[in-house]
Amino acid sequence: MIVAISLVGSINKTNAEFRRDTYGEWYFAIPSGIERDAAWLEKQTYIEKIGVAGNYGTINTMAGKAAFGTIDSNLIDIGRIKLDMGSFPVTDDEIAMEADILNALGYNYELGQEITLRIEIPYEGQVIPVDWKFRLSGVIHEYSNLWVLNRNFDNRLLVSAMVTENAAEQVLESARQYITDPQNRELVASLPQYFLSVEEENREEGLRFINGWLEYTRPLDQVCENIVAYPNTKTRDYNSLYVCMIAVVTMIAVLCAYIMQMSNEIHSYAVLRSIGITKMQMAQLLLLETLLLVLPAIVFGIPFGAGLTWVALRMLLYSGSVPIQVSIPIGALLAVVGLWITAVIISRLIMFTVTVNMPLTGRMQLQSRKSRRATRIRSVMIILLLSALSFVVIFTDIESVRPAYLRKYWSLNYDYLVNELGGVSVLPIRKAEMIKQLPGILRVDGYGEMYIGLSFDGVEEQTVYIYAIDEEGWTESLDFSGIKEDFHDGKLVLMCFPEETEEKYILPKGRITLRVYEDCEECITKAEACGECIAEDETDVVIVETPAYAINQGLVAFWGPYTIFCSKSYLKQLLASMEPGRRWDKYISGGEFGYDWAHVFVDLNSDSLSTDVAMADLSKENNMGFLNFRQKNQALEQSVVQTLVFLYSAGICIGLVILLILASIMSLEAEQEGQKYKIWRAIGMSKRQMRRRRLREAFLRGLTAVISGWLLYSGYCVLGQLTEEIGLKEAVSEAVATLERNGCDWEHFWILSGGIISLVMMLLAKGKSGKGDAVL
Amino acid sequence: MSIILSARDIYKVYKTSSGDVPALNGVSCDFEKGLFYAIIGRSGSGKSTILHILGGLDRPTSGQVLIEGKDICAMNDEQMATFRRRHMGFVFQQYNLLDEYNVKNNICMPLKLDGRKPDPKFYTEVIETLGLQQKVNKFPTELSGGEQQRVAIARSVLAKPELIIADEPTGNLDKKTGEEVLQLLITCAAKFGQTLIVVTHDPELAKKADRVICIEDGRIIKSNDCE
Repeated sequence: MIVAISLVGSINKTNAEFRRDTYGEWYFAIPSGIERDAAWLEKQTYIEKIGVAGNYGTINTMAGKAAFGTIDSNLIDIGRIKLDMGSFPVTDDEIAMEADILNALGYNYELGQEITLRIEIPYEGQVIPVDWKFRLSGVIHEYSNLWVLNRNFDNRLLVSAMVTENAAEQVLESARQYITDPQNRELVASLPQYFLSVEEENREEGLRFINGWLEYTRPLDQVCENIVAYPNTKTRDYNSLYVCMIAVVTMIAVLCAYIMQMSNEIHSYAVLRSIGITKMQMAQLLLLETLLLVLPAIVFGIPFGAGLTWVALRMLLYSGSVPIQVSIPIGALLAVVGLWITAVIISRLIMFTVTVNMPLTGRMQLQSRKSRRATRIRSVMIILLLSALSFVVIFTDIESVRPAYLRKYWSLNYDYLVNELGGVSVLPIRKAEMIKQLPGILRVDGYGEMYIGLSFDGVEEQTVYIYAIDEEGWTESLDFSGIKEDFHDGKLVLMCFPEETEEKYILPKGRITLRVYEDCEECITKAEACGECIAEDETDVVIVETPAYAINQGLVAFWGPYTIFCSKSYLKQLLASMEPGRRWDKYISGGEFGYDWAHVFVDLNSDSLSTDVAMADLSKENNMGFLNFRQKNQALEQSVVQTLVFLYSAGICIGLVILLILASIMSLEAEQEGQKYKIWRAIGMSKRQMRRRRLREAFLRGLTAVISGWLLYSGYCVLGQLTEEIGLKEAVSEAVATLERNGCDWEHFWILSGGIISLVMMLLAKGKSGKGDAVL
Repeated sequence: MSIILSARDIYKVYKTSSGDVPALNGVSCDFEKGLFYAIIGRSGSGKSTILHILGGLDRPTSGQVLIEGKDICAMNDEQMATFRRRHMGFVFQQYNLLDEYNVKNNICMPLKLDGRKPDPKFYTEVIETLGLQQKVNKFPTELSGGEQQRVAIARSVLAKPELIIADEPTGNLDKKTGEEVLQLLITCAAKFGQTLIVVTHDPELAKKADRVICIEDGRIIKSNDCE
């Protein structure tokens, strides 16, 4: 019980810390800050700390715009902004930048190197470019792409290139020199962003006040809340639900165990009474027994549970990038221990009362009416425990479908995007091989992306995208079943449509014709093939659909209908059919083969920073363009991995607790019911009949457990919707929609229900597997 | 001989859902110190009920049970429990030993409950008399029925009570073992000067008693001779 609670608490704390490490521990943000805000915010007593970022301008990179500016120490503190290497800038010539920005600008992470930036300072809807040189003092851990604020675009980007305030002012001053009218020079100024840490109890008040101030100073603007970093309702629900489950299971288990032992204990106490124990002595004896049971459990159980939690957490397959927090939630623990003690005391009181009122004559055992009632209560308790087990299995399974889907979704996202610098030639295969050799690299999926003319019966030629891919890297996204070899050998191509949309289009009934047109300057600019046809091929085609999770793989036309996927062999065949020296996008017939782009995937558990550094060095040395999405992807994937770890470990832990309790209760029940089975055997029941009877009993219990489990889960879903202040009918339909969204279809329902019934039947069959002898 | 126990006009009525069921209808009798009494009668005649009332395990609906002049029916539960463990020993048909304690602890339990320690000499004597020397460290579940009943007898005599009350002590035993156990019970009671009251429906057993009380329909129909 303690292990279960501490494990749930620890994983919860680890996840909470991870979220704050990733998204900062500030609660409110005003991304569209103005100078006047500072003085007003200073007066607000509910604000603990104010962190300020100064946005001075933007830098254009291969990956888009990045902000240049300052971050004060408070923001570094409450934003948990860390350095992967080096230090924050101290002198005016120093700069600290995020790794992806360095990569996108073609720099590696070598500290002290000179960084030349073109900073665009906004002025009157236009920009003033200022070139400035800095020395790299540090590499900032990715945060700007993770904190999504409501104004997180254009010049309100979060600062990715950080300098001292003095250096930033010098850059501004330099920009001001371009403005001829001295009065207008004042318009060139930094744009502040405010980040505020506020205690939980003051957040409601804070929200009201800050929004009031924003409405007064800039209508339609609202304060930004850091809902990602702080446990949202769902996460809180999980935690409270698991603690409640543990509490309920504990209560049931204690009561069940006592009810089952009650008959024996009552007999013992009745005998003691008959030979002269007084009520007071009996009460003392019961108290002593209770203390002997409870005290060692508390004294040894809590440290033992904490130790076991620590070991269990260490053994969990967690990413090395997440520091594990071992936390024993004292409040929850005390509540559950309190409930446990209450259950023990209630059980002892019941026993005391029953014994005191029991006649000391005859067999000194529970009267048959009371005994039957105890048996009924025991059966109800067992059903409750089985229902709890069923609920835990259903809950863990269904709730983990969406995070598992998201994990797959995020894991399909490439971490680096690499091409040959210049954009006119392919990335040679040897370079892709060099990337593969770097430590921490999982795989490199190179591909070619070109336009091609497509025609077939009923459809005139139209320009579509063709992707030349290595099928091994695409098995998660495209269905190659039965055609993998033919595809690999270039005997057929795939025509791809987004999920469930192909019926909207005319589909080829036979072979398709693909025509390659030579690229000229004009068609490259227009993104249309207009040159001379340099190759033509008629080929077999297989229609495939793209699952939704594969959509985010960053291919421009992946969404579009009629997108063609071919193998590298097919591309080579097409290139070989051309006259030497013909250009098709970046490919030149007879020239070096390679890729347009390469998607590089990094191992989540590797020392990813070293991989980043090695990749940055390699691309700089080998003239490769390199965009780094690794830290962002890792953070997003890590967050769903942690949700999964939380669900699975808490679910398994509670499930195991229930299973252990059930197993011991079952063996007690088997012991008590053994006599009944023996009597049946003695009066002529065959072993087969007995087995059938047990199986029927087990099946009925399993069925009851499954039905209760689903009802409980449905209740949980509907209750969750009801908290959104909607009517019961809407709540039910919304809950059904949520279940469907979470992947709970009928097939899933039947498999899960069948699995639970089998589990319960196995458990019960095991528990009652007496020898079935008729010896009375 | 002096009277150690007297029952005065004992009535006992059980209240059930189908109405009142009288179990004893004005039973009165005296028990002399050091004698062996057998209470016999048919099933449902009320013999066990009178025994439980005499032993303070049950209370009469009306009437008095006097032991050395004290009415035990007027005692509260606390006083009755203390009185029981000091002045009475019980032997039950189902032995009623405590499974979680070994033989020695079972035997000494009434004394322990009273906060006393057993007299080692007397303890050895009892154990030897009952032939339990080799069994003291065993648990009840490891003993035969006869051995368990011997333990129960040892438990009943160790506190040196004036009265030993036995409810069908041989009911669960075979004839031979039953006779042995009964003989041991009689020997013990005689040896230690205790009054023995035994409920039985075995006429052979009753023949060994100094006095026989015959009960039918909740009344004593004959005393000393029920042939």
